[in-house]
Amino acid sequence: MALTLRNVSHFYLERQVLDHVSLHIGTGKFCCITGPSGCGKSTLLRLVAGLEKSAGGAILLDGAPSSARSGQIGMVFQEGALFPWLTARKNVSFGLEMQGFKPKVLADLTEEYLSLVGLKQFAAYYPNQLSGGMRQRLAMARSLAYNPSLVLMDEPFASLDAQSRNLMQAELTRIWRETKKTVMFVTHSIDEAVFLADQIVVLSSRPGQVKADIPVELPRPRLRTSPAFVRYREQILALIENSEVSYEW
Amino acid sequence: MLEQAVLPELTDPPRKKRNKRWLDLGLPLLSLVCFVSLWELTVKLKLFALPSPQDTLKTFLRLLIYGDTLYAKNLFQLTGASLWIVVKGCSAAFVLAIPLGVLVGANPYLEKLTHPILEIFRPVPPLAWIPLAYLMFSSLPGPTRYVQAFIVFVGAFFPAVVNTLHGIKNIDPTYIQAAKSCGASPGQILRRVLLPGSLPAILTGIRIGIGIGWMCCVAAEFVGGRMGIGFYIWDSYSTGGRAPEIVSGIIAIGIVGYLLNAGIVWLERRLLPWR
Repeated sequence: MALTLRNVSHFYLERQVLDHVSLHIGTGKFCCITGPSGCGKSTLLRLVAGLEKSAGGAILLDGAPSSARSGQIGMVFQEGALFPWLTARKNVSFGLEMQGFKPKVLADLTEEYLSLVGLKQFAAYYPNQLSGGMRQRLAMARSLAYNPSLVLMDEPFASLDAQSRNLMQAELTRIWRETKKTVMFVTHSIDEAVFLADQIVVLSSRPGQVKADIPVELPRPRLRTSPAFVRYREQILALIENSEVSYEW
Repeated sequence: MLEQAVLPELTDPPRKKRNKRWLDLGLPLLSLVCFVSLWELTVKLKLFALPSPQDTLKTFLRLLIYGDTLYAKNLFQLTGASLWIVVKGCSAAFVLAIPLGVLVGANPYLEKLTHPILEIFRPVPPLAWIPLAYLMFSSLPGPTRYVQAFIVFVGAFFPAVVNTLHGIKNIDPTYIQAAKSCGASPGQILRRVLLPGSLPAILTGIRIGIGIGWMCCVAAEFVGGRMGIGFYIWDSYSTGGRAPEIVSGIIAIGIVGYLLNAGIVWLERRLLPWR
């Protein structure tokens, strides 16, 4: 499913947070949104998810307006937002229940997605019994299980340590390639964006405007130390730092 | 150097564990022994007109097994009668308070609307309602039963409302957003997110409510009625200062209060395995 944003603007009270943001993510593409703190990256995601209404512009899924009720969109939150009172298995089936799946199909899909994220043995655990990385994998399973065409991810690995983070990025790449979803992924980390994305959209500081929309043409699996990888990093870093701080030695 | 200084502590745990087990059993026992000794000392010094621990224990066991011949009731029957009032008052309180707390917690307008009323009546001691309650129920046969249940109701109502309300309000909004992003309807959000998410707070409200309800019941029985443990200790005083009976009654009240609390704690553990 392709996502198109046309001149999307948004305000919090009087303050403009997004200013005529336009972008297009093709079907099955992985797009990372990055930019300085407070540029409205997360707000953009919440608008697409339908959790907030934009002040202007159009958000179109394959050319039509979107809605969370339709089951076309899955969302993974920063801290996972897993329900602590449900086991891993029940968390995964939650989305399926909300979308009205039949019990038999629901049980099968739940097991399928638990194994997809490698949590089959932990199905009966509660979220607080799982590690940070496992929790994020579970959050992915919850939002993937009901088969949305578009998955929104709001800095899902921000609270993980560097090693789990790298591991989860590789995992996500694998899951994305297996499930063939369109992904819109918000991140602070330039390294993460270059590792994951087909396309990186850099927003300027508040109010967020599209500063650059860069296709990433690197073969997967990607090597973080390859010269081409580092060149992308430098390019994006320069774009962000110019809008956030001025160099003065 | 520093690491060396820390090392001996690191090898300590086994001994600490043994110490801890001893402390878990020993300290409560020690406190009981100290308490009874102090009690005995107070009696020996004739500081207050207290019955001795031995007399009290004898009376307590007699009341427990044979009952009090003056009333033809044993301690089980006396506390049972009071408990029944608590069950009635608390049930009514929770049936009203929990839905109200959910509604008020989920709706900021409703919260503003009810805030002044809740905050004015909440600090009123439930016992202050007794005179009014007798007037309210005076037209009914045997108003005392209703008055006592009503006082328990008032005592249990406010903690249940306030805890439920805060439980709903303190639910992390990202849970609600996560449910919405999965396509949950408002009704599903209520049943699948707000209620389970606030269940710990609701159970705390129930636990506090039952505790206060029990206290209120004992006190309300001082004023009227011919049953119940509160009536019993008050009547034991007015019929001539039967101190061992009074203290036995107090101990029974304490044990029942403890058991009620322990029961809810047990229920909490069963209902909230994720905690």
